[in-house]
Amino acid sequence: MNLFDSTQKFGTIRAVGGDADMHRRLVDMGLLGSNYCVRVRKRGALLVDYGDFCAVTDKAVAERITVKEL
Amino acid sequence: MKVALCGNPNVGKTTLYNRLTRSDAPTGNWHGVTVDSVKKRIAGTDITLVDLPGIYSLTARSKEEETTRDEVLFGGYDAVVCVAEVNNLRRNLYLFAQLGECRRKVVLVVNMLDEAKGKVDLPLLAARLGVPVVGTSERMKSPKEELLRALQNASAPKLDYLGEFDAVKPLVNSDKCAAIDPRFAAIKLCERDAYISDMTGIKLSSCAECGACEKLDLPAMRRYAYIDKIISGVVEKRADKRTEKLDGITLGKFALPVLFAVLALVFVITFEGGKPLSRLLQAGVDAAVNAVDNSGLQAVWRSLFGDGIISSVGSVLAFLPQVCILFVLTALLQDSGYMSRVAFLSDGFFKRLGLSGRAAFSLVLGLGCSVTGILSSRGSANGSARKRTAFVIPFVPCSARLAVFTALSAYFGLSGLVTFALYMLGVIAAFAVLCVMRLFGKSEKSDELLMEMPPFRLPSARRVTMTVLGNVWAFIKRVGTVVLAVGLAMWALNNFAIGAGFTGDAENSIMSATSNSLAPIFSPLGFGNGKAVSALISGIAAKETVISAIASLGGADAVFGSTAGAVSFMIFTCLYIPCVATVAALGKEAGAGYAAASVAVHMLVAYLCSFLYYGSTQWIETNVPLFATVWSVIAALLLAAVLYATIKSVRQKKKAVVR
Repeated sequence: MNLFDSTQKFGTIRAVGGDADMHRRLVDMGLLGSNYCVRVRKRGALLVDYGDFCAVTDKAVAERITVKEL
Repeated sequence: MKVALCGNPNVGKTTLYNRLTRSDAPTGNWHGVTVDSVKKRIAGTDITLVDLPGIYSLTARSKEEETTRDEVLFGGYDAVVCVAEVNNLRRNLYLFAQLGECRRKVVLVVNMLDEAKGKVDLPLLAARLGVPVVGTSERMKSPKEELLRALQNASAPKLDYLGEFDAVKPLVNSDKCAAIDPRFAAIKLCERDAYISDMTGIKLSSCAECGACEKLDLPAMRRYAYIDKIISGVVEKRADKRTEKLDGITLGKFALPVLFAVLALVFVITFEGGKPLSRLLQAGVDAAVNAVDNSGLQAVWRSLFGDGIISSVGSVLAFLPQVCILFVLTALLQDSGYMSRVAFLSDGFFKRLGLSGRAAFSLVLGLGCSVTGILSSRGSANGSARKRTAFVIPFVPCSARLAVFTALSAYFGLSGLVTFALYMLGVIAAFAVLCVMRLFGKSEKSDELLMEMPPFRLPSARRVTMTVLGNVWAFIKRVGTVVLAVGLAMWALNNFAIGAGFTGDAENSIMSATSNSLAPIFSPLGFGNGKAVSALISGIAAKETVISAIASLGGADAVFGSTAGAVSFMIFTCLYIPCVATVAALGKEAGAGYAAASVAVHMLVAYLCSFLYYGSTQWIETNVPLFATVWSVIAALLLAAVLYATIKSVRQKKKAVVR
């Protein structure tokens, strides 16, 4: 299940995909293994609380983040 | 001593820099404010402090991140001050760990202590990191003395995971990367960092080649494991309820109404709030001009002091109250964190134009000054998106154009809604040009957005004041230099004739020959006279000079034959050639071709819009009943469309909830 398609508000990030550039950025931001909470859903993006920080996560990016729902 | 100031975006580096060096570099509660390095000596010392753009790690993605990476790795700094935000220590220390990997001497500054959600044990943090740690916030006294002591004891952080990557070091040819630490290069090669790969000429295609790690992300995982050990027990965490509640309002189902209400409020307060003081200032200018007229001086000196200097500069400064109010309100919105929410709300819209919500930042900054907006477009990693954003920013009316709108609106008794409509026109023109560029340009990958959302916070009086004072001073300096110079030049061109010296008659002056020859081009727009053209020509240097030119040419009455002509002129001024500084900035950021195309497109769009407006007013005057019928039908159709879209959206949401 990916972050964008997940219907649950809470979960844990299991893996990060995407091209080398985006993968590196998401891993550098500490997403791997972090707990998340989806605050706002829009058609093309999510506002996600990753614990340490909140970030607007584009649909294309969110679909590359594999999560385990809580 | 040369010291670099680095850290994640929006942690307060530039605010700290301004405090230590007594500067006024621009700051804001969003990412991407600092786009280039700036340096200055710390007051009373021989230490040069260099403020660098924010960066999450030494793997750079955008131009500004490359600037910071190159400065940190090759800038030859004696020490690096790494600034971290107290509520984001885990992520902020990631860069700190990489500074340790490349063996930089580091001092850690933990900023925004006043916003800490719980207790913070800085001595414990310093003991675990092995480097000096300085705690600070804007409300505390300057950390200068403590930081200077800490810099004397700066040291390279001791990291406990570096030994795992020793196996890769022999692969790194020290001749090719003599400037950087081979262990750092080895770790970066494990991460498949393209920049280090190019520099060393080594590309690891599989982990079997180095034998040091089983996973591509091992360096990142080790860094965070190290950080988690360090900060355990150092920071007590609590939830940020305020931001959560406010996000529910500003980003929930009432997000768009709240946004439009905020924007409308900004314009109403700007226009109406500044009126009383503006009228007072204008009365003062008029009194000064009358005093000169009655002074008994020779005609040429009366004209020079009255029209050339007092009128030209005074007519612009009379609208300083409106400009100040706009600066204050935009600074408040920026510092509170609301502007980042605007970017999120507009992200879907900008996606259709091939950009991202990040473009909203640049457009909003363009409200103050187009040059600032263009420079901020560097924050976009996608080169094509950056150029397209920079290209359309000049369509958004800047503070200089606001002065023109308010001057003419005040003279003709037009309401603040006219100024608001002109701003909307500029924004719509920007979007229309973006649509055309998207249709006819090469299709490029959209600028993906992964943008940190800063927490809501109460705007800092000190930060807002410094921002406003900086902007106001820049405005006044421009008036005192460019506007005055252009005003004097325009006065001379409009009052002297070749072979006749001073005539005091604009109709038979040097400028009249040029502007009268161009005037017929503008007749279809309702202001086809030499004086209006003279004012437009002067506006190429700086838009504020349009008002001073009109003042020196006899005032709005003498320049415009009708209110419709004046409004058409305002539309043209809103959209035509950007000022010289803006064109130069666009040329620097996007290339000379883009700058030239921008000038041509602006003229075309300005002419078209003015023509449509003035033509329709002439047609309406002779066809009032038909006009009323047509607009009533259009208004009814628009209302029906909005109602339909709203009902459809509510039904879709209900269906989604049921599923």
